[in-house]
Amino acid sequence: MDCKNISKKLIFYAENNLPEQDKKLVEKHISSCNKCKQELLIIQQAFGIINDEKNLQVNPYIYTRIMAKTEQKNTSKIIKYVFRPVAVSMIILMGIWFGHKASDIYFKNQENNILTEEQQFTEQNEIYVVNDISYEDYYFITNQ
Amino acid sequence: MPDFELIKKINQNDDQEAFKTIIEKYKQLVFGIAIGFFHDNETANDIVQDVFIKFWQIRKDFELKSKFSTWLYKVTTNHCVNVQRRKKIITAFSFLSSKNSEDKNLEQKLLQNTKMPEKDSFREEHIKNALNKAINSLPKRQRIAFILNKYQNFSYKDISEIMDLSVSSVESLLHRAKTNLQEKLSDTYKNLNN
Repeated sequence: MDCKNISKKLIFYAENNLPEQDKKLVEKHISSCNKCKQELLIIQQAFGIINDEKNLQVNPYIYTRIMAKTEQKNTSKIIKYVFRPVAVSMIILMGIWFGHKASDIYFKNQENNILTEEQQFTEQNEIYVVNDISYEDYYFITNQ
Repeated sequence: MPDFELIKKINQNDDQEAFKTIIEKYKQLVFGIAIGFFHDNETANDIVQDVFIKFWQIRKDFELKSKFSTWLYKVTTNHCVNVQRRKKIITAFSFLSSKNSEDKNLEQKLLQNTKMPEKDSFREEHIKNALNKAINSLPKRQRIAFILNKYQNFSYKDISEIMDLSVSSVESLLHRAKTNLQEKLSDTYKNLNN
């Protein structure tokens, strides 16, 4: 049998899963073919690696880790479904309240400004009247 | 205590002791499957954690239609396949900026090997990498069947129940998986000798 056909059987030979006849053929071939022998060694080593991995042990504190995570998830659920909507609504309400307050202050200031301007205007007019000069006359006099 | 009683306790009373018993009973089996997929302790522990958290989250709606272990293995294999897919996508994107980490590790080991000629450990590392890559490159169903068979020593019948397939389909899947692995490991021989 040639290398190509033997190569296909090597993995089954390595796991002792070949009929007796095929097993003998593989053994005969690898005794004289270094390439197939090396390939078989690689497969056996690969199976050895799988066996080593099978012996790895799970984290002994996995239960504690799982419970901690579930509690964390519960807390994040509470945050997500309770605290977050409350916080968002509070921020919106505070925004509205501040907006309202700010507009109040703004309009009050504007009213005051209008009042003071009116006051100043009437005061100035009074001065003009007292001096017997109208505003327009005063303007021309000063700009001449 | 049988599984169905434990699950009843968890289902009805949120019984944490029963949950602990279930975890203690199955954690190593779930971990074994995850190791078969990822070959990495930390990721496998994460998978165990995710699977049991998932069970805890759906405990109220959980109905035991088949064996609990079968359900657990199904969930584990599905989760592993999904995580692997996600990781592949991440690796594909990270490949744009840098070489993938497995290759980097291998390169580092190669460099170390030139400094300290520990030929056997290098060879083993090379075979380990090749084996992991070979298993991960198998088609999904072949990969699952191979891992359940080789890492957990599950019988064809058990695998057929977990994968919802007939026993003969599992047999054929495993045969194809092993033939594919053989081909990929032959390439390793060529690489080691070049």
